[in-house]
Amino acid sequence: MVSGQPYPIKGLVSYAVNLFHTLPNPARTREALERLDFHLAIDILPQEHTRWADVVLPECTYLERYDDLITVAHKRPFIALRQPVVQPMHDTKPGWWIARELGLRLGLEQYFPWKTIEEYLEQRLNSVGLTLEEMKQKGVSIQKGRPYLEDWEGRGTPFKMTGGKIVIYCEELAKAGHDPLPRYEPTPEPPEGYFRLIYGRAPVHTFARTQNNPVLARLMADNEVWINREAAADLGLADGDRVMLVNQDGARSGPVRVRATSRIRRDCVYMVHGFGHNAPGMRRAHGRGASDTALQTRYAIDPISGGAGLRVNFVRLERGSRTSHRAAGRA
Amino acid sequence: MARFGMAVDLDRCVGCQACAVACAVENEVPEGFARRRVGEVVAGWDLDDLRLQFLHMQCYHCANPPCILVCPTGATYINRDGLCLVDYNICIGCRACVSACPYGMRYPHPRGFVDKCSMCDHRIHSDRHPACVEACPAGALVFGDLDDPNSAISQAAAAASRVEADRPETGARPKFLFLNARVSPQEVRR
Repeated sequence: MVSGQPYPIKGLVSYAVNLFHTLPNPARTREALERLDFHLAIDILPQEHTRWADVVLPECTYLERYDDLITVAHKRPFIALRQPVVQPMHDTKPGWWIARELGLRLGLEQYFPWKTIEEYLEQRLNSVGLTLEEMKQKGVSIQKGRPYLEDWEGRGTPFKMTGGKIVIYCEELAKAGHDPLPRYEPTPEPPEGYFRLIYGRAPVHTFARTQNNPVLARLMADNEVWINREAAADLGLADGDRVMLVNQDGARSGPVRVRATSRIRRDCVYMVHGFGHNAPGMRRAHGRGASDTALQTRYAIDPISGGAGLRVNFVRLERGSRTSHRAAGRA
Repeated sequence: MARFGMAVDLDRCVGCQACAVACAVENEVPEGFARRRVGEVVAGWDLDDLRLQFLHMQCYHCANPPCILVCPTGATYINRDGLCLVDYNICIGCRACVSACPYGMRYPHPRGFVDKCSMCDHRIHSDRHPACVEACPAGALVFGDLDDPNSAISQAAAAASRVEADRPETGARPKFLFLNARVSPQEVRR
């Protein structure tokens, strides 16, 4: 989107994805969005990216709508129904309604031969001998059929690589001109005064989308930056101090509380992903904690798989103007 | 008649706090307060001997609870199933029980009474578990009759390699069991 290569992208529909917390380097995301002629955002929350949209279509939450059937074929095949338990609050609409209405207005009515989601679900369920009424009661229906993983018992393997499921030396990679037995290549070490930024998740929160939930926010309202006890002492930092995180390219995030702990190496700092929201509409999450994506201005690409490595960024801890003692509520 | 209690198998708990969420929603606990919390505690100093333990905090439904002794109105009582409960219509919100609880498991509700875990007394008589137990994805929380050797809690306690209650020296005789703790409740409080 930024380069316009191999072709220019002029329009974007973002559905249920917060571009500023899903992707590293928000500055580049902003640059890409600036080049669009049109951006439509469909979401349930007034997150950062919806402020970059020309049009926002607010969707109702999963407890207020039907969605398409969940059908899982592997291991133990089943069909599951998501159904509304309450009417939508405010002026919001289900995703299926938004898709259908947009389709009708674009002259694509042949793709929407049904009028309501109930009609659509009924027809799909009838094809396997179920009814919507039955599924409303049961919620989930286990299906007959051979579980995928058992299909292969005693009959070889579904894995296509030479050697089967577990391959140490990969012939296919050798044929493709890659290293068949991957060698460790060291990544750059943090410069003096900097720590490698690593990140992970807490079980309370899901990605960057639940920090504003009132019940979850009271369990975990913000994140902390974990730093080795001795490293913290060297910097004159104590548990509960507030710091700004500044990366090797000058990107900043915070303030965030310090958690001095023996549970981390001296050369790394760790934080839980999903905090550091800066959309004012996210009333509870706004300004709480720091964002790891904001500090990931660099990334490494694995030449074979194309996977992105984000733990190649380094941060230093800059003491905040205010310090507070260990916040309440921490065990 | 029963002697209901609860246990947490700490070999199973992953600290997800689904129990705390279910509790807050089920019991309409106001923001800023909790009937049930899960914290974490780290014992040891060096990386080699660090031990992590999730800490479960809720009313232990003690058999000899100090909160009852200090209640001036009789609002706190033990029912026929051994649960320690608060009658909100009698409670005057004086908070004597909040101070008396040796485990700090009670809170003053903004509507003028004192509240705490009721073991979901409104659910358990219709064959449902307390909300926290039902929500636990790991099967770590167990509820049942401690007098019935076939109950889930008795079975879980019998199978556990370590069974402990929080600070028995209080004399309150908690009916909340910590199973298979790596950091004992006693060590946690040090």
